[in-house]
Amino acid sequence: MQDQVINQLIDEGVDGIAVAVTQSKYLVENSLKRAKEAGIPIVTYDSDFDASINGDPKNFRLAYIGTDNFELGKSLGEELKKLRPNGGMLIMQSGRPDSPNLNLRLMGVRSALSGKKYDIPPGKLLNNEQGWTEVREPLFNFDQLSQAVKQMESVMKGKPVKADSFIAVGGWAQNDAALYRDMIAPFQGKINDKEVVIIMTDTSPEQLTMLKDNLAHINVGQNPYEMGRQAILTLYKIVTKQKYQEIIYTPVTFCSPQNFNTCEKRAGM
Amino acid sequence: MLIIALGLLPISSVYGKELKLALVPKFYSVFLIKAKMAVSMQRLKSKGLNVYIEDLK
Repeated sequence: MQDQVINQLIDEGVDGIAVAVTQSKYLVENSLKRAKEAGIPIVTYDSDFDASINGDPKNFRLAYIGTDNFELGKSLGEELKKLRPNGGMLIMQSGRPDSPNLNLRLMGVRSALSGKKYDIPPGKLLNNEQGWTEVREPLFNFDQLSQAVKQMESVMKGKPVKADSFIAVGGWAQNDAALYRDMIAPFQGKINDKEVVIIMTDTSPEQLTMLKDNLAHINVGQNPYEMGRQAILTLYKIVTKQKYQEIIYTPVTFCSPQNFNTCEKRAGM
Repeated sequence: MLIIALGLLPISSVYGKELKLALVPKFYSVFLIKAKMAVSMQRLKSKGLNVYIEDLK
């Protein structure tokens, strides 16, 4: 789909393209190759090229605008430490094991909790490091929202493996608000008593409403507003031959039931 | 998951040169909506630029 859209843009004589990459290899071998040959500048935002392109992303785009995924992961871990300062038993949820940006987030969480540095994402499973243990490998939902909700339900039930902390490095389970609410309702007591601490990624309006309703403890948000703004501004600078930054990391926001209605505003939303 | 089209952004500068810049999103999500809002807001911030959003069908 993205390939078709980019081909269409090239045919229409577009002056620059900002793309949130999905299928890196396919795009660089098809429409983006065509764009490069046509001299159309490309920037990536939100999602950069992954390792499948077998080369430096700089060969295919002039700039990247988005979240610093390692720092986002660290932020998730630091927020958990505030709520559970003596450590605990953690289960993490991710999208795909071959997703570079999500693996950086997992590594960020592990670094924050263990205090260690890892050479290669996603780092190593925590095993009683500074009081933190991951009771199993991360749950991968492969971007299936219903699967994400089922996985979280198993964590809340404590079956088959018991944990007292849950971090999702994406928003999957909360992206279908009705499904999430139905799943989480029986566990409201566990949330209130912090029997299981829930830390989620992203801060859509629906997620913030659920936060207000105490259906999670913390949501760490990305900043799509700034990504979109900076992506177009960067493209504009490139095509008008002005100086531009090759990498722009957009800030994250920290939302809780106490500040759900103001947390996004601080980041300029 | 539904993949959506994109915002195509023709920009006319005060010099009369029209630039077409495209924002190709990943999936239909709040990300797109906010990114579009951001671009729309850019119009208010960029003096001398006329920015508007047009969805490709």
